[in-house]
Amino acid sequence: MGDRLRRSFLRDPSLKTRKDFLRSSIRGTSILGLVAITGSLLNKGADAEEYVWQINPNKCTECGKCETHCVVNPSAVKAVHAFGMCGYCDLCTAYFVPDPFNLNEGAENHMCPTDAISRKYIEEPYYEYKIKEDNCVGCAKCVDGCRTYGNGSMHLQIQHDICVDCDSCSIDNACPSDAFEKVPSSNPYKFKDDLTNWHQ
Amino acid sequence: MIKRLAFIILLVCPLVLWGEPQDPPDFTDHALPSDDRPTPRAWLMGIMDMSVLFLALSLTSFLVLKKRSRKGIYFLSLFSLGYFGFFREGCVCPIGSIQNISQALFSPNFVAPLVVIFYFFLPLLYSALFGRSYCAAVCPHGAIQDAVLVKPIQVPTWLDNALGFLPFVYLALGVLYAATGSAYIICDYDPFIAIFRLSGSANMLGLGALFLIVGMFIGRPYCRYMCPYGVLLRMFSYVSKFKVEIFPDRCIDCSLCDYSCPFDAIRKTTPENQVISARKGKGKLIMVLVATPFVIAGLGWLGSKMSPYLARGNEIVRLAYEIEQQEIQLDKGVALSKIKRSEESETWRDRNDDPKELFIRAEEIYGQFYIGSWFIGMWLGLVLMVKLIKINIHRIRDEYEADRGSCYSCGRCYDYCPGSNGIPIQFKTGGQIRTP
Repeated sequence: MGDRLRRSFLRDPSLKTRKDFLRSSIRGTSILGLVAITGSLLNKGADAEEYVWQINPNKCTECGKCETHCVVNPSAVKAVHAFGMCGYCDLCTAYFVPDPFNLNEGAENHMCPTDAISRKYIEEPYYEYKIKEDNCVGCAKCVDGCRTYGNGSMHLQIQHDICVDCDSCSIDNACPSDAFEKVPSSNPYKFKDDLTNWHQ
Repeated sequence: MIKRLAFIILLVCPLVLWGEPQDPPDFTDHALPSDDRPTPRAWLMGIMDMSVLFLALSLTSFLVLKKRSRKGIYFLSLFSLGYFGFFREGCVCPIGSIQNISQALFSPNFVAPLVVIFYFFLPLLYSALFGRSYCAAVCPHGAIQDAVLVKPIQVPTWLDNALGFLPFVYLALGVLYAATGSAYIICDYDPFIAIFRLSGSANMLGLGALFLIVGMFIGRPYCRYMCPYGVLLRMFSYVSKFKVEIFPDRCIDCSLCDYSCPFDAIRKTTPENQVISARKGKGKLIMVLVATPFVIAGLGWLGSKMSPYLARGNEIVRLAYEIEQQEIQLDKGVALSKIKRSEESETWRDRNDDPKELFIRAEEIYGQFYIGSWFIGMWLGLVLMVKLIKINIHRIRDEYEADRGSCYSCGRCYDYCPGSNGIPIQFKTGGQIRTP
């Protein structure tokens, strides 16, 4: 017997059928189950700290995937400069291509493909280098140059105003050196010249 | 002078042990630049996301059940496409939240953020109360497909049934990979995320474009044949308190609602020549019921046989496998430089980690995959058998109704139904109501 026929026999369209009763009891149980699961998850996360992604500069191998694999374009990963451990060299191997024509700001001498590093004379023999973050695309060419011949003060970090904090970071999935780590959001950077990070 | 200085500096720099922090030079008159970095996004955004979701769900339910307004649902879905899709770039979303929830349930030190838990929980609750309101006008994936649907064609029932099996597989795999901490495949292979972000790899943009082109003719292909969250919404929607109603007392069996539905979600009345007596179908039903436990166990076993292939999706298992192969080659006396190596294995060798540790870790993860694939097989067996049981139960339907599971509450049938929109049907048919 169909539902409409049943109702017209019963002369009351709002009357509950056996199916309705079954349905409402299953509904009650499933909502209870849902609430229980949610409650246990909330309880688990109640006093846990929030975590965000960051690059461990000591594991990074400058493979260049940070530039190409981020879901944000240009990448949320940018070079940063740990001023505290920079040598302030004149011949900066992060700034200049190997075997530069001249040690000056001429474009033919730049290592950086996007002109994201500025060079400023301070006093003999020191020069200061700064990252122009708007230009940086996170290709890590400067990181490679600085780490190969220099102090390794240039390194990559995820910029948290750009990072959308995907739970499954697509650079992490591509990273060959396992350098992506979850760090507490209260202290979201791993700077090389930050000694508290260094000894972890 | 400069050249010589540079040479000296070049000589000195590498002498300093790489990486050890050291004091910067003593400048006579220059302070080190301070480096203040932006902090992670404030939690305010999370609050906003949660309230928009709550409001959108409530408004949709109101529009679907009380107002019965297709226009309202349509415009709300465009808003959701803008907010959840293009403004929030498709993240956070309930479809992906499945993975956070399963990882949080299965791994001891992973915690799902509050926003994600909320996004997982609320649409399901609404689904248990009001049907699939989330699909109707809140989900950006649904909205973008609904917006491009121009000329719906009917999918043959056999194909629809077969493809309808895919979301269950996708859900199971998504949960398995997330629970083992391997990958978030539901996010990684999401066809629309590249469109929402207006950037992405060529493959992902191509996949998105393909879904949209197919979606012009087949209503909501992702929702019907892929969406893993749709599986959960469907289950809760089966027992929902309220649903899209075609008023039985006003129905004139005109079948316009069926004609208007692009998702084949309207269940028609049983034609008189197809009425099968309940007794006649009983033999088949009993056969199916008897076979159920065997099918479930069999598919579970089959699933467990798949575990080595599934486990290869985990990077640690993959790395361990590669290292193992390399070690075998090395034992044979092949030089390391002669073996084709991946970047991962090279950096692993650079780190000089203990291979035993890696193998133990990989073995542990493989164990999780083995158990998981048993469950996947059994789950798929269960889904298959429930479907077969449903086919073999013959119920006589004497009114048109929207299927609780498949109806997306899009409201198209409201516009078509002559009995809808508060116009009493008696008026249209000259005061006569057709009795069954």
